[in-house]
Amino acid sequence: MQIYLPIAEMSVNFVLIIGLGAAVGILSGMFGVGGGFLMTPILFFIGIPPAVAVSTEANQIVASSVSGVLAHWQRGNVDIRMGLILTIGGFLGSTAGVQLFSILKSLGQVDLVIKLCYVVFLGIIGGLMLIESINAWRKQKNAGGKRKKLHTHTWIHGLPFKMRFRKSKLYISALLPLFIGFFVGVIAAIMGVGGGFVLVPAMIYLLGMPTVVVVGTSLFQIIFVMINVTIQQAYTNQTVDIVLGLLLLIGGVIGAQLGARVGSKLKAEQLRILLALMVLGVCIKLGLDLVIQPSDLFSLGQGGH
Amino acid sequence: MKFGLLTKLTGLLAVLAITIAFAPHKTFAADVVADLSKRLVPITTGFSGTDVLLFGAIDPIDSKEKDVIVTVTGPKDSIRIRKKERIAGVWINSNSALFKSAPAFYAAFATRPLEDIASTLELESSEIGIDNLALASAYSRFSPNLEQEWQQALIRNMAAAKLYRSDIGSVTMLSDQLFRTDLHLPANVPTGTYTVGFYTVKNNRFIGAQSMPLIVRKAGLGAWIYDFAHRSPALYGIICVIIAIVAGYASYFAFRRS
Repeated sequence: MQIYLPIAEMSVNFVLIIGLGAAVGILSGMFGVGGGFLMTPILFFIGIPPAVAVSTEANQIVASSVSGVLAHWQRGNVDIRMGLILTIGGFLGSTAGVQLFSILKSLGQVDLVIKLCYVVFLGIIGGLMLIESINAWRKQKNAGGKRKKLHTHTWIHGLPFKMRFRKSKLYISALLPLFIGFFVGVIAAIMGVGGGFVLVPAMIYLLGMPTVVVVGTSLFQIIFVMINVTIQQAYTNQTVDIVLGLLLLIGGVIGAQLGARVGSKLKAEQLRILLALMVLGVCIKLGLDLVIQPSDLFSLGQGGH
Repeated sequence: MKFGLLTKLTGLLAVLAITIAFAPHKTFAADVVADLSKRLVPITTGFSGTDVLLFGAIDPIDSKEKDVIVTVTGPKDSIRIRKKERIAGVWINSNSALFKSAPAFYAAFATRPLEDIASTLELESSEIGIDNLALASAYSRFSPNLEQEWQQALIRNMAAAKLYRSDIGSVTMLSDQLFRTDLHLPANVPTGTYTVGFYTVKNNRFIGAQSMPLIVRKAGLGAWIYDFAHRSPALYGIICVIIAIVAGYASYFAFRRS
């Protein structure tokens, strides 16, 4: 049951890895989330060096995003123009992110920064999800609701380099998606996530894109950014473990199929509360590890030798 | 003239005696003859650690008074140790020390506790036993106390990673001549050329020694992947991406049909 991971330089139980891949795949299938933000910390917990976990998960996200984007593509729910601008930003951001990752690695601070990013982002997302899903659950009980305004004008609409995005029904500055793409690219490279959890809300609330094209367009961007991260990490840090990646892939494919079937039969709001609690659980575990005094203050330096 | 030659001879003998006394590795090799159950440990895809049998025979004369020590020293590596400090409530790596030539693996086995077999001076000069390894950090600014604290930290962490170990009492005498011990190499064993040293000690004197190499290296598919990832990293990255795209594509269509 043991398999040696040539890049991580350790042996793992491959049934465990496929199982974890499947478990996260089920969640992705049920909630339509990428799952990178759960898989990468789980890989930390089982002892995979963070640098390898982050890079390998990026490769894994390429696969899950390709399979995810195809359905949206066939329904015409991808705004290619918007996707390309986001991708240009994402390319620059992720390239910068990988360089930053290298610098942090040589300073011995990469674990800390990765984990801090996780604590912050998982805390925010988990908290927001919990509040939102509890509200939605309540609202469902006493139905009804008020209509939102279709469009609001802010300073954002005053930026230069305006472009027309027909599919998104928007006429906005290209700088905005470029900047969002860049920011998400940096996060994606450092955390080993697709960044959908930042990209999707940014597209809805900052850009004002219609929800129907948001998921397809974000997956479109994530594919290209993760391709860039994988190649850059492989080139700069040699931390992409293809054996680990394949195991996660097998698990993920099985899990996503199961998840989509299970998800359609269960109540969405309660499930979302469950997911929110899981995200907060991972956040708290990572946070406590940073705050509680370690049993040995000294540790072996990873890499850099 | 005759007298002079005699002095010279005595002098030569004295030098020889001193050499013998202080260089235990190279002399009296005949007192111990040993071998390993395998000289090459391949790390293959299914590797999850392995055992190597270290065995041999000692000269049966006075064998009751002799002790056997077996050491396994991994390739020298530079190992960095980091120390955490609490900054704003969070434990952050602050100081670090680099040990430029610490063995990446070390194990010592003996018939009895090392300090009962030989004096610290002898053990230190031959670097036998974890506490007697010559571990010098690259920083001369450390005071001896601090230097020792970092050395202990290195030893403690390497022991926790199962890379430094001493199994005292684990060399078994099968008769008055034959001895054996088992070396366990864990799944995270570093690759490289190891040196296995066999010593016999009598009355605090090293009387026999033999050493031989043990090679640990990646083999099979894993080795090929590792080499490829380091030799042509860009191409490796591109191939990883292509595999992922194809897998994603395939899984979408497989999913749609079912």
